[in-house]
Amino acid sequence: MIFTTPEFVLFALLFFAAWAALRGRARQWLLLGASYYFYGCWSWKFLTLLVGSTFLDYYVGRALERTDDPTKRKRLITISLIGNLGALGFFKYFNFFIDSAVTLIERMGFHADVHVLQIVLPVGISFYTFQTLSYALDVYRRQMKASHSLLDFALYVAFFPQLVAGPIERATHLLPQMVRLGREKLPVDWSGFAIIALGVFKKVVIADNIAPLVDMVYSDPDTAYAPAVWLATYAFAVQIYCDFSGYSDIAIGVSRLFGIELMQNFKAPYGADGPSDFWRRWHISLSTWLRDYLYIPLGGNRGGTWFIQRNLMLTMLLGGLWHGAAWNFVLWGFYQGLLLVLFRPRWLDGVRERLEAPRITRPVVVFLRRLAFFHLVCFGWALFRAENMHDCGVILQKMVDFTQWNVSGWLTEVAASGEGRYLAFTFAVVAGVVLLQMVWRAGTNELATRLWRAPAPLRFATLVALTYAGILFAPEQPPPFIYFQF
Amino acid sequence: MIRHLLYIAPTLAALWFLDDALSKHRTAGWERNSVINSQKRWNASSEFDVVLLGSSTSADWLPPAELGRVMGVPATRVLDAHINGCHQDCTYAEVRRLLAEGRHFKTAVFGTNLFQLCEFDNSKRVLQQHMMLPKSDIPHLFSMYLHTAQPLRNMMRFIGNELSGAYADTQAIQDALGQKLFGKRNGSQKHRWVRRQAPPPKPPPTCSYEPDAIAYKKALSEAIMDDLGRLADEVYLLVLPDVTLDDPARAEAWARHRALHQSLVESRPYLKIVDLSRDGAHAKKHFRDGFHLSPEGIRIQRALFAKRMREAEPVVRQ
Repeated sequence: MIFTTPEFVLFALLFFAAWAALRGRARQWLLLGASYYFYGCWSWKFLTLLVGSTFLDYYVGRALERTDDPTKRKRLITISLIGNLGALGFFKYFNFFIDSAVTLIERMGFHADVHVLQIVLPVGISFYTFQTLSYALDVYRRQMKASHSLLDFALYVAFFPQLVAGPIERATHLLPQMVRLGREKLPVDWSGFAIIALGVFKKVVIADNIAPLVDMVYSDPDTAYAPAVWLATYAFAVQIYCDFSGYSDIAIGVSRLFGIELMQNFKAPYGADGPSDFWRRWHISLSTWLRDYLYIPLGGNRGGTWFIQRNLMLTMLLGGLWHGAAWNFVLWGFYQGLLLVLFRPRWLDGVRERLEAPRITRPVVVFLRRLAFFHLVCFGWALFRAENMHDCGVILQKMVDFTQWNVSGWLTEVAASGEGRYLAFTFAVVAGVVLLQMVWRAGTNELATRLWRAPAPLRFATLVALTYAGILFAPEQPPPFIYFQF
Repeated sequence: MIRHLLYIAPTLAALWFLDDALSKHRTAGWERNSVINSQKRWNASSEFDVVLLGSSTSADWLPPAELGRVMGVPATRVLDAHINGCHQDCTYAEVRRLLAEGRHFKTAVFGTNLFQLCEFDNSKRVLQQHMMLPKSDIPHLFSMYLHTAQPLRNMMRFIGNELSGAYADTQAIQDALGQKLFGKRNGSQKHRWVRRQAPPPKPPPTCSYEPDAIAYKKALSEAIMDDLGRLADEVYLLVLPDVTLDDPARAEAWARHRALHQSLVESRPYLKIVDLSRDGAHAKKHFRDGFHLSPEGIRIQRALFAKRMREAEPVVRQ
């Protein structure tokens, strides 16, 4: 069930009607039942995996709390790691590693007759696995107490608004809210409607309508003109932002209607000054997870330059692989790691400060810096969107090889295609989204708060207009959220 | 309360007017207009003997004059009740509307294509149902939706149509708005901003004929045949050809398609199958786009239809 489909509207209406009639524990049971139904709509079979993961970490958490023996504690956390990462590894990466091994063996001149399994990726596995894992690790590190209620914990794992595509919540943040849900009536935050409307608009009106343009180019980049590749890459940058952050917005908005606050997942990422800033603004729940459970345990910023750079590269490589079992995601992770390493030297800060020193030119310099970094992000998106490694190479070559640009020739083709006005409009929308982030640098939460504080007639009319636009401009066959595949 | 109503009421009223205007707009609402035009033809007379139902693939080669000639009635006694893109879901609603209006015919003719058995995602399918189905039949329609993979989605699409006139016509509205904003676009040259070569033409729609894929249309087909038995004394179900007839990969689907329709005849003595998918149009040159007939295909299918009707045993109601 997808947030932007009619059946979710019916599901939500029925659910909230029942929710309003219940109190305390009954509400928790209703929420758990609804969450399992929501997940079961994709696959009832894989619901057992979700339930299995819940049981595993709940009992590991309880056992960790009962013992102070370091050996036993290590054994318990190893069980959790093997259980969670084992399931993730099998369902997500098994075929990838087998395929890669076969390719390697055949390149070495040997014949490999290996039959890969037809493994279906359970939706949301990357998200809920990281969520349950963070709980076990927090209990192991004694950063929180283990949950004493299987119902509370099951809700923390399966809470349907964020179950299949995040934000990846931490037990320290979400679990106490689930506990309170069973004990008291949490105050409803009606501003959730504003965030939902903005999220629907971003996903349905912007992302879904940009998608065909991107697909046209990326489906066969070999024959595409270089300026078309650039345009499609800019468009993809906005598509993936509006798609993914739109999902997060709807998840946050729906949760607020329960009185539950989820963490902010995006904050104007294209307004970032550099790679570190970008990762403080893009998929914040994943980047902070990787920081806390991978980068810092690897050593973090402690140690020498090479040691730190190794940690950054490893973290981002694994972050890339988290997105999907394909080499282009590994390459994307490597590229992100490389950006973090290259932007790290202190002397760069000195250069930046000198450039930004004159007050009059500072806004221009800052804007140009953000614009330049946005282009570096776009190179990354080209790697991310490419369908295979061959396409990665072709796209990057077309983007950087000036001799292929021939903009005047391309504009003649654009005129012949009759798509000129449509492309100009799309480009204006794409530029508008990016420029708004560079200038305002605020997330949808802030925009929604402002909208919610506006005079009531304006607020109501805007919400109605946004929702109606979502109905009117929905494509005939709406594509699913991009991050569902991860 | 009154203070809130002061802004809620005008906003909702403005939305209602906008929605109504969009859904009735001459160019924006062409799917809706297609249904309205068919209904105008119903209302032109109450003296029809023969009714032709189905989509354009049933009607564009079989105009009232031709159908009347074969059936031995004047063209004025033939009701062309076809609607563009009117598959089983739409015909089901149309027949129930005709029944609710107290219509009765001597003969009903309904044509069906293979690909129609799988397709019901297009928003106009629900729009057609919403526009024609009598309200009292909504529970029965919802019971039909239980045969689809996503019954809740389809129920909500129907409810959405009830709430918003523009909802199911969004594709047409988007096309009309796009034309206003970006000018008339040339589909055959669209690719040129990306690459010089045109993309390969899309294959014509078809149907896998997997049991799950056809469950909904199968249930609808049975319901339509029962309803047609009440609407007319005799019913002819035309199995229409398409360009995949000669494709060995589609042979299994075609066998299942014919068998499904043949199974409908059992226990329905008023129903006759007219198989126009054998010995008629089959080659690429017989079709304009894979399922609509070319002039040569039309000539072949008219002759075949006349022959099949001559050979058909008369319908005897028990």
